[in-house]
Amino acid sequence: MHTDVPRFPRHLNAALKSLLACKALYEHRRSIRVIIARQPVSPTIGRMHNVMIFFLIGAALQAPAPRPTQPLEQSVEDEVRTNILEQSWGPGTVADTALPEVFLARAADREIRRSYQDQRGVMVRAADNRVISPQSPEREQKSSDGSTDTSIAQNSALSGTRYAAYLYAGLGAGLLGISTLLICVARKRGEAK
Amino acid sequence: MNTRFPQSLCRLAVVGYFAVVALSAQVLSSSSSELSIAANRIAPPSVSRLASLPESPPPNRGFRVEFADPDDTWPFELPGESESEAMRRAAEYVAKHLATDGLLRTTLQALQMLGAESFAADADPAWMRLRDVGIPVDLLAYFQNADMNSDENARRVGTSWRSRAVENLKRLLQIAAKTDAQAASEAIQKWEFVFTPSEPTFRVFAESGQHDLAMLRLQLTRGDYWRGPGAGGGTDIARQISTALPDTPLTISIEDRFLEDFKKTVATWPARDPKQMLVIPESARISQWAQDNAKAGRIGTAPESRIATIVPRYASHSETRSVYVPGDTAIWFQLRENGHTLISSPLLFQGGNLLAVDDPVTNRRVLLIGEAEIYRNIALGLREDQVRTAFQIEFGVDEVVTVPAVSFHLDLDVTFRRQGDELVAYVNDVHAAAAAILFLGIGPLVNAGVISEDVAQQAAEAIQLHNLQGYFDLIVPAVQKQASGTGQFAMSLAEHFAVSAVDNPIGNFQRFLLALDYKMNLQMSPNLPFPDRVNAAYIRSFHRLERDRAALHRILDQRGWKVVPIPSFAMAERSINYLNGIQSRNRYLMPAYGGLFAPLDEQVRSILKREMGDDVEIIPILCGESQCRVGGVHCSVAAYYQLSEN
Repeated sequence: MHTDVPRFPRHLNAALKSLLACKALYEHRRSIRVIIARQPVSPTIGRMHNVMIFFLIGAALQAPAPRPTQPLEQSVEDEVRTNILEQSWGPGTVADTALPEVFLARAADREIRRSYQDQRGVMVRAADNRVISPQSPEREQKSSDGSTDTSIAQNSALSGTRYAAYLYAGLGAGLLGISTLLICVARKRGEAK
Repeated sequence: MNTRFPQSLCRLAVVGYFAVVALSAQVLSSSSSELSIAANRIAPPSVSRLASLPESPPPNRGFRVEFADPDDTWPFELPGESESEAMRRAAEYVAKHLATDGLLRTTLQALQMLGAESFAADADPAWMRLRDVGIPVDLLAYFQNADMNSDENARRVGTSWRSRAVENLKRLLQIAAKTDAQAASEAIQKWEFVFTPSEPTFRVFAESGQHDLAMLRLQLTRGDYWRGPGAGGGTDIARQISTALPDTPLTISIEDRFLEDFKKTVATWPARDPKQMLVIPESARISQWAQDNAKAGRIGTAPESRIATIVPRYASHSETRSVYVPGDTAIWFQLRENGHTLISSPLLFQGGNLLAVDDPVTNRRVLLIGEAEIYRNIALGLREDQVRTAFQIEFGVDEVVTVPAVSFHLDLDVTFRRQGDELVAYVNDVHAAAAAILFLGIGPLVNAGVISEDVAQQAAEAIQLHNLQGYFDLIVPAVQKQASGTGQFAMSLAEHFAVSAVDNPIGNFQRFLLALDYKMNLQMSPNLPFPDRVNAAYIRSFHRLERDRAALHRILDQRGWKVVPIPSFAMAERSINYLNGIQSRNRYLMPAYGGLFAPLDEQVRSILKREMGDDVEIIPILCGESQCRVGGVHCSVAAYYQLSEN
């Protein structure tokens, strides 16, 4: 654990005060120009951004530009909404409770954000590649709608770790098998002599 | 050199040291014994049963904990295989139609499925059967036939809800037995919803800071600290409140298995009035959220009025389903045993989603309700207008205003304060908070060697000049390099985001990442055809969140209330929320995060001080760990106010 006060920035309070006091930022966001970030932060956004640029360039090169068509696959929002509605409640489901679309959409959005964030920005310990939870063991969240799976189907953020574990386990088992085989062969040769 | 004097001095010092240690131990142990601990009375079997039920949505939609008569147990489950086919079919019908068809129509249909004629005019077996199949039979009390003459209506006033409900059930039995479905449907159209309060003099407390605190109620999930003092778990919140408000009585519920730990923890707190704290041991597992399983108010009229607590059908969590919380329900019985006045409401609610305020312009008490509480009761067979009427009457307010669930519960989105002749609504300015988080994240990145001091200086300047793109250009590629392909970061990087032993490095780093996501996502158009559907949905969700937040602010503004944005990052488990606090006449218990983000705490404290005035003491309560659980100070503490005029 790093216990020292960070070395940078100096005069933090004064700078932060100037940042917040003028409230210009709050006003500024309303007039902010829509800019596509050149360097998105998370690796996923980074990849997505790169793909998006190729996509846009590709689309621009096609003439005439094709009209955007309705995607055939279900949107993630619809998928999560469906998952929420299918949650069981006694002999019925949440769908029987007549929740309005606008409320469902808000609940689904919360689930999309939670699900995304749970799988990105995950912290791992370098020594064993083990994922570390930020919360206390007795963690009890107020909005624990996640008790049943309403989340979107995604590849687990742990897939890399699991893959490595399986790979090493396989290599280990293979090595053990080869060693055993070599020992057996050597013994047989010894017996033959 | 004569060494006698120093030797004797040393001996004296050693003896003195041990004397001081012994004295301290004595003081500490006496302090511990001062703790006022309520007897853990053995709960009757019916209460033990309630505590042992599963934490899940009750399959029986009408389930209610009616603690006036806990032996009159309402079934949690629906009829099983041992019950008749008719019962099982009726139960399924109720679950599927109660919300859409309404209480009366569904009751009629259930009666017909169960064979209305078989009950004759005997309401008792019908009552039991309907209750077993999931009809909230108690709510039948709040309807009356518009054709009834005024004498009949007058007679009903003052009778108990149970007798009114039984009376109505008898009428429904007659309708169901004698008429076909069409005629029955027409007959019940003449019935009106006439809600009567569970306690006619109950009035929910206004939480807009006009009154002094009388008592605070907390629920603790452990006896010691998580990480340590300052980390902001439940016990730490109790420590800070006990210290900051030594004259305010605290009622603390805690599981009995944590009691010894808690005594030891309390013994380390500063000297205080031994009568300040009443600790109530609980047998069942409880949650931290004292705000949600009840709502505080007063009953009676001055000068005989007293504080009281209104409780819902059952304590619950979650928003799209009402998940029963056994321990938080069982708490009510111990509170009552310890002298609290409790009122059992037929309505279902979570207290954090209800905020009452006094509007100084209209002189009306307004109850703001997060929309989830409306739909929770629609699921019981009431219509939206009926739910709103019921809340207005039950909580003793002049008006009910429904607001969108922007950040789950309403108390995460707004706190109110009556200031002079106006009501001020303090709301989240997530953009300002995100900018501050990005700013404060620069230091740890330098310490971790992710960026140089030169780059850090430029990034700090960029964000202060609101040049977000400049900041992203400098910081994002560097952060991006630290992540694996699946979005994993090394713990060694996160550790630089903690500045003390109790600071949460992962939580802090994740807040920094989310602030980046938030700012960048809102710069992208939600209509761009992103190839990755999950990322696209994630980005769109931020845009909709902003739209909902703006809608909430508009609702408050249109009421004529002054809306003041405060830098506050309301983002579920990754929040740094400054609005989830407790208001009183001359104090605001402000949720604070501490650690890396302590400078932001300090700046927000000074902004609130400026806005609320010099008369108001802003008391920061560190609750970082609680914010990681989507809570804060208001979520963890139920406030009871002095009774003068409230």
